[in-house]
Amino acid sequence: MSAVETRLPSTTAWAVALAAAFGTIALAISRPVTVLGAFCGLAIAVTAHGFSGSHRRVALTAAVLPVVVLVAVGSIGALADLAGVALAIVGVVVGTTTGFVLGGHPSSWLLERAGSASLGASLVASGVALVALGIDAFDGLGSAASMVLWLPGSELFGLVLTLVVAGSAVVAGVVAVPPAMLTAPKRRLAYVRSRNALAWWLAIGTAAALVVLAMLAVLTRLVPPLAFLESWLTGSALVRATLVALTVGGVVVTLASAIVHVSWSQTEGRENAVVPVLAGAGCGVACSAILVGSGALTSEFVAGGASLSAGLVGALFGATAVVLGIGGFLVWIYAEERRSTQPLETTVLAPIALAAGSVVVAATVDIGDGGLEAARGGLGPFVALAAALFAFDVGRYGRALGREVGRGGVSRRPQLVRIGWSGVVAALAVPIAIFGVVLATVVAPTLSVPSTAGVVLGLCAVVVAAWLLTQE
Amino acid sequence: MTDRTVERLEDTAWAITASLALAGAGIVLGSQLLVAAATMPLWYVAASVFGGRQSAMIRVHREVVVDEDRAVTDGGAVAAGNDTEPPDTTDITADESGIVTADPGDALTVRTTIQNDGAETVVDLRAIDGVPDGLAVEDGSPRTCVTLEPLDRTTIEYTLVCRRGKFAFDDVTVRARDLTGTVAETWTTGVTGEDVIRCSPVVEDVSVGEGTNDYAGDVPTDEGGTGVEFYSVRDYEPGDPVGSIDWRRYAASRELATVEFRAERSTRIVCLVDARPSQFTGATATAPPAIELSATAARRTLEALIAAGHPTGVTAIHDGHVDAVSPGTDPVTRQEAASLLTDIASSVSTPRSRGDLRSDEPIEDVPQRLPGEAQIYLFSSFVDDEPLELTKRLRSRGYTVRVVSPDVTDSDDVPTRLRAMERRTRLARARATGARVVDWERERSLGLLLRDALGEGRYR
Repeated sequence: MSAVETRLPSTTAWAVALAAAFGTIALAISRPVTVLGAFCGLAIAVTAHGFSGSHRRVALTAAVLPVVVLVAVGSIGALADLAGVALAIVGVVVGTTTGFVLGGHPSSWLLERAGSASLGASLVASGVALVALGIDAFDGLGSAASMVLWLPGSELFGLVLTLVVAGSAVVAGVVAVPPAMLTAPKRRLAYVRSRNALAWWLAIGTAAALVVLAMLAVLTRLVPPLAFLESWLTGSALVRATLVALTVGGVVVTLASAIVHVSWSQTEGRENAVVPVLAGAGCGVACSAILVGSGALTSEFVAGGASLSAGLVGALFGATAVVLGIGGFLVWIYAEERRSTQPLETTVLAPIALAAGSVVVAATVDIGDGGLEAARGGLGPFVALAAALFAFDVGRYGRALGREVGRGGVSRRPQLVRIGWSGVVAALAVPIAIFGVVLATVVAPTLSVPSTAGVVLGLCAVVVAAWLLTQE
Repeated sequence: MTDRTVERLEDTAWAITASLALAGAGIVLGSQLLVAAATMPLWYVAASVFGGRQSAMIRVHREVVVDEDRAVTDGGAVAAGNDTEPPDTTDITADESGIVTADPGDALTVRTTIQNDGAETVVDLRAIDGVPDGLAVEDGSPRTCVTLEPLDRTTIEYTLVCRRGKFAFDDVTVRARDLTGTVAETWTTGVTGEDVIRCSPVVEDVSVGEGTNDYAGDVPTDEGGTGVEFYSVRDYEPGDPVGSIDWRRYAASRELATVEFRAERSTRIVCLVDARPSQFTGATATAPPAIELSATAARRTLEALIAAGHPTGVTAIHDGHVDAVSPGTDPVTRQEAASLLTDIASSVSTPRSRGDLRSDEPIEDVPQRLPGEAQIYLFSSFVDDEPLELTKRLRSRGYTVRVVSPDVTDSDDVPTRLRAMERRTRLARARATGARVVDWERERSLGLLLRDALGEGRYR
């Protein structure tokens, strides 16, 4: 039976999603932040599908992605301890995977767009974090801005240096813009001629300004009344701010143009959404930075009402940049891998994450003196583990069904029968495990951990022996 | 039916691994909860122990419906066109031949009914119908997974797009899994009902057009002479046969007049098939390409014309050379022409021992190499300008040209719509040259098209 498709049939997919929801809720008994992580994961899954369609939609999605990650990082960082952060990550993985199970796994080119948007947003967020940390280091926005403006020096040489840098950046920006961004192929040569002429005029203008400054410096020595003009030019914050703005703009345009140029030169199809991806990611982070900086977003969603310093903003955007960078890098690698080889079974990530979460909860929960308290403590991790086992078993069944038959030809009834069977096994395991742990705590220390392990191994031996006996 | 293969799916290793991992983590962390949790995956191992072989007995019947409203089988049986209900249990029997005929491009709806003849419920029955190699599934799925109660049945329904040739269905592959999903039994089973699709229909008659030569034949012309059909009455001229004098008129008016009958001449016909690479395109990925449609239409035209006694040949225009079979009615000509058209349909450009003409500009050279006073049937999709140029050249040399153009621009995307517009313009310009043009849309039956469009006799 040849391969058809790997996506889970609808009924099985919903069963896996329900199990993931049950498991998440069970983990949330211990750390409610798990649910928050799951919602963030769902939002990421929904956002990933937004990278298909028109370029406007791609740009909007690329703008939303860093906002979602920023809110998630801020919320989890503000609300959770170490175990809570771990469970929140579990929730993000479960939510994302569940979103993919229900809505379909995004294709490799969608993942590449998502990875590009994430990396681009990470780059911009890093810049925002550096700016915020700089503001924090220099005790305020004004002093930080003053430091940047007068960094080359407050004398004439500083102005000359700033002018040279600004002129070079602007010329580089003009030259670096790919012609296809601004003109049609048949007018390319005319555009190149105009662009080169503009670049030459900018260079000549910069050189002329430098000559004027040099002449002014000489004339000031000869005609002292002209000193006021030199001092005004070298001491004007407006002039410096304009030049710094031109420098920043030129550098940004050059960088963005270089990325676009590389991406366009490597594209194989007719569609390339690098421009909306970069523009959306940049705008998303910039808007977030403005909102966070003004305190509107911070007081309500991120810091739980706490006042927000520039250092905290820097840390928030730094953490967001790290998450976006690592996530984007992993997504990019996975997309490349998925393009060249058999795709990974991402649906197994949800049960694995749930199992990991149940281990975290089981390792951290206090079962007190045993008895009912132990049963209450064990309920959450046991239910989460049962949900993980159920989701894994049913997901495995659904993947085999998808490979052999495909989504279109599968009726609901055999899926429900199999789901029911797996559910019964999982449901049966929970009370027995609770009974076991209660019994273990009641008879402790007679039935200590090593003793319990011995019992488990004995049970394993019985099961394996029974299995061997039934082999044909 | 093949032997049944029973396999136990060894897939409980994951549960044992999870159990050992949890137990290890519990021991390392000193957590009784984790050690107790290690028992949970073992229940899946224990549950798999209950798995056993499920001896399913099923019966399969297949019916094929052509175009949803007609299904003609060679045995004379007619499948229910719009009957979506599966046949009654007692009706599940094979017809005499099990062969379905259809035209290239026709949609075939296949309904394969699977019935559980055993006494036990089959919890998880998976079946894959043996779709013939070379036919594409356009809609639906030939696969299913169902639960079947005893004597219960299910129907797999899907649509195939027919191509020229003869195609046989394979047996149905069946796999039954038990409740635990650990034991699977796989086998193939025979199918009653239709199992072969033949896609090589013929046209009953294709009338010829106005191009004739000076030899006597059976093609009516627009000139007076010897024949059987009254044409005109003219003044008597010395030398006219006595038998053609209108004696009734002479008796009434004492004036001699000669009765003329419609002259019947012989003709030669050349089916000109455009087999250049531009014709390899189809309307969709699953639809037959233009070259296949053209070759099919040419073959049916050829068979009908030769059967009517008209010397008919085939000329295929490739990219760089021309394959030709001279007009004739003998079996050798017929066989060579059919072989050439088969090669064209399968996109094989093999130089032939007879009539292979090397040419750098086949569009320019072909009109010079065609027999004089022949009728030309040009089969091309007109997706580029070359066929239009060829039509103009043929018309300028006085050939009667009929164009059959399969439409392979039937799609909604913008580039295809632009191509369709260009193609319609070319066909209009071809009509303007005096050629008779038939635009063959996908949904139109080829037989009807040839009968309706080419079946009109024209007189000279």
